[in-house]
Amino acid sequence: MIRRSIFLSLMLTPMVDMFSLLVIFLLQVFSATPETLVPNPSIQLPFSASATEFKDAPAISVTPDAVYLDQKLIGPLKEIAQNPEPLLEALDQLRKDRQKGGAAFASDVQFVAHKEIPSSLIARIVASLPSVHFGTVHLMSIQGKGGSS
Amino acid sequence: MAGMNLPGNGSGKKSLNCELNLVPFIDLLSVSICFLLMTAVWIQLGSVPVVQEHGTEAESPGSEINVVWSTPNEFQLTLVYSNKKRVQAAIKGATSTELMTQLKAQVTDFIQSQAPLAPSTIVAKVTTHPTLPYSGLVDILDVLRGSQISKIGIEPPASGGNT
Repeated sequence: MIRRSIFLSLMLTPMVDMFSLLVIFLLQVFSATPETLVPNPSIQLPFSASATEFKDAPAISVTPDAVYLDQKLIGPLKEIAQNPEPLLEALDQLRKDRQKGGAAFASDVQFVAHKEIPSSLIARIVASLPSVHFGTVHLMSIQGKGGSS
Repeated sequence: MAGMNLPGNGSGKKSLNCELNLVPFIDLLSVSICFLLMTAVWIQLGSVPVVQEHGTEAESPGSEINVVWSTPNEFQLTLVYSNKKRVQAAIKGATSTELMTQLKAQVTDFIQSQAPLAPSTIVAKVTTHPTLPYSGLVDILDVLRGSQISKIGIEPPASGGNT
C-alpha cells in the first residue's frame, strides 16, 4: 500500500517582500492627526478641488431630514431652514459656555451637509450664523474633483 | 533569531552563514499591517471657508462679483469694478461643467482687469437657485477660490425659494 504524502512548502521570501511593501504603503497614508469630524452615515459630502485643511470647531450637521449641532438633534431640516432660532440659540449657548472657561472665542464653525440638499436651505442656515457671532463657516467636503452636479 | 552555524569538524574556520528566523519577522509585519489598516485615512476631508459679510469685519469692498445661479443652465453675473462701474452678463451652458468653465473664464478676465488689485481684495457673493443641490454651490465656490478670491459670502434666494 503506497501512502502518498502531501508536502507543501511555503515560500516565505516573497511573502515577506509583499508584507514589507504593504507596510511601506500604509505608513505613507498613516495620519497621526485624529480626524475630529464624526461622520454621519446619512451624509454624503460634496467634492471640492479647493478644499483646505479644516480646524476643530463646532460642527453643524445637516442631513436630508434633520439638523444637528455636535451630534445633538436640533430639529427637522425644513423647520430649521424656515426658522433657525433653535439652532442659533444652541450656538449662542455654546459660545457662552466656551467663553466662561476663559478660552478665546473663535468664530469658526464646521458645516457638514449632504450634497443633494437644496442649496437654498443651506444658504438660509449659513446666512443666519453671523447673528450669533459665527462669521466664518467651513463647508466640509471631500478633497478632490468629482462630478458632483 | 539569528544564529551561527559552527562547523563541528574542528577545522578552525568559522562559517559566516546566518540563519534568519522569518516567522517572528512575519508576525511583526502582520501586526504592523493590522495596526496601520485600522488607522489609515482613506478619504481626505477638507473645508471651504466662507466669510459671511453681514455682522463680520468685512466691509464694503472696492471690487465685487455677484453670482446668481438663476436657472439650472444659466448664471447671472454682476461685476462691480473698483470705479463702481457695474457690468451684467449672462452665462449659459448645457451642462454644469460648461457653466463652470465659462464662469471661470469671466472671473479670470475680471481679475485681470482689476490689476494691480489682488484677487484677495475682491468680494464675491453667491446666490443659487432654490432647487439646485448643495454640491453645485460648492462647485461655484471652487471656481472662485481657484481664482484666489477668498472673501466669499453666501446669500439665500431673495424669493425665499421652496424645496
